[in-house]
Amino acid sequence: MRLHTLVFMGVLCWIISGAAYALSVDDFLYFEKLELKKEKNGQVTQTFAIRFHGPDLDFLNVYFQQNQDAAVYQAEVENRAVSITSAASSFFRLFAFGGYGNRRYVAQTHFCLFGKSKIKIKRKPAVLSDEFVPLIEIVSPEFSYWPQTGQHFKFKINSDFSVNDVTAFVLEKQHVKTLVPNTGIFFSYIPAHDKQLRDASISAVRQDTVFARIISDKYLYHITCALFLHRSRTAFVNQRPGVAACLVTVLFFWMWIVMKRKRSKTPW
Amino acid sequence: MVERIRLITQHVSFLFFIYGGRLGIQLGHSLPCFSCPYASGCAGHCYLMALQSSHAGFQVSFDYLFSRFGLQVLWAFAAFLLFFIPLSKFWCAWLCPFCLFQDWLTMIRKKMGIREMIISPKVRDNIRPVKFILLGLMVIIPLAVANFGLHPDWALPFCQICPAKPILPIFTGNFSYFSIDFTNSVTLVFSLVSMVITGGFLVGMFFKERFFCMVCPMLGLMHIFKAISPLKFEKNVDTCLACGNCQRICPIDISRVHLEKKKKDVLTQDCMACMRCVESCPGDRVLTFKWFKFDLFSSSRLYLARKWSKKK
Repeated sequence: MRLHTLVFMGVLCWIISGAAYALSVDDFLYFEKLELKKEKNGQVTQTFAIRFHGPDLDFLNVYFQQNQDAAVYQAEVENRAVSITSAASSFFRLFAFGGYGNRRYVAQTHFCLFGKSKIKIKRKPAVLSDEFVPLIEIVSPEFSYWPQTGQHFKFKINSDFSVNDVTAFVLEKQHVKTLVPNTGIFFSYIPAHDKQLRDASISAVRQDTVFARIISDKYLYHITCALFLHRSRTAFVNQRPGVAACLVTVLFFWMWIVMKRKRSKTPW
Repeated sequence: MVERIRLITQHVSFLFFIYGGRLGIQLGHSLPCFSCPYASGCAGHCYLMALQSSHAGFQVSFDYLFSRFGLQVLWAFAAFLLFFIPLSKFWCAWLCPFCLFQDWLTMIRKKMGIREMIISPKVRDNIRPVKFILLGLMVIIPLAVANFGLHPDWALPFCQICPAKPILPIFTGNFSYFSIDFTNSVTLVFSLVSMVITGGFLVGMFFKERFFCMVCPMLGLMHIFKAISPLKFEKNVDTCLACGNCQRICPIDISRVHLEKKKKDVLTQDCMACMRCVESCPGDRVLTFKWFKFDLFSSSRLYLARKWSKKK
């Protein structure tokens, strides 16, 4: 009986380790948030590390879009890190595109920077190739500059070819969760609340990264989308105890005044 | 007459400040009245929030404060002065939406025939410094958040406990600030304190006219810059009978106006320029509100006689 159990456990471990290997994040390119630097002139610079543990890439380009503009700009990559500077309050979409052989790696993220400077930052317009790059599109919430834990995120694999074989998972606080497609290319994900994040400031973020692997006729695409989640603003706010506390206080002070007026000999 | 004009002005300004943003009016974040940013669609924001904030206030590191960024803090303050200087304390009794809310509670109490609570001069004297203490904390706590590692949820300490935060959004249909935030221990304590303070002030404002104004830090801030304000409240000490009508009618029970024997200037830190004392003064030109050199309103025996004959 004990031998059977041991064999079963061994087989289970082998399956789990195999699954983990199959979904290893090492074979993906993804952004990781590093420091946020506030310049004295009001500009704000956010640095991201570009993580990739696979073999050397033949090419790696990083682009970004500011606000809702269609213009795409090239970002400078230094030591697998990229810095985005903003002089105003802006919403950014950041993309990295790399590859070797028949493998293509795409990393994406979006974030806000709250700069306050009149100095204009020179942007280098990107020269894009004609090659269509599949992306993870966040369908809902459509525009969320302040993504939070507990929100219902819906993703879609956006590509110019029919996607048949999709494997998707999410790395939430070092734990891998498999994402099951709703209808072919749509995925849902509700990030769990986090005690550590709740105890930190409202601007603190946790990075959850969505990974997807899709196969086209020519390439094997490994796509990631990094979400920088804030603590939920509403999940732990409860109205009933608030109204109750207020009413109890009102009743307490009202009674106190009435009692004091009844006992006092002089008008009060 | 003046009372009626003041009430009309208060109601118009209430509509303007609470709903003006919905018409595209945005007067910035340096207003010297409780135009609460938590009431969505307001026409501008109370300066007390900017004072504690990280974008125009003291929630910044010392390095930033003494750099070019410090100019933003100064700019917000300059904007506050630009709003404050011409109208001075008229912002309180004539324009502040929260003042009108307090007046509504007083009207309800009077209709119900409930007498007003009497606060002794000693208690008043003890309460008086509270507004300056709050003002000091509005600078110290945000600085401590930015420089000494105080938990970031201490940011905006006054706004978190200000009774206007849950009350004024009600007029935009938002009751959500009557709540307890269980996110962490700091938010829990702040939201609980906020609810207790709101409940306490609701009772206080019902039983005592302008109860909140006794501790309002905005009134304290205005008093600090009284010297540069064109609004003057003067008394002719030679003709004053010291009848005490001014104190009896004053919503804040200010006694200095009739007790002052030497000084011409009787604009005290608690005065909100409601002008009720001038209306009720039986002496000709004993009390006068001036704007620069212009007499805005002077006391008159005839005015008082007409007012009382109309009431009868």
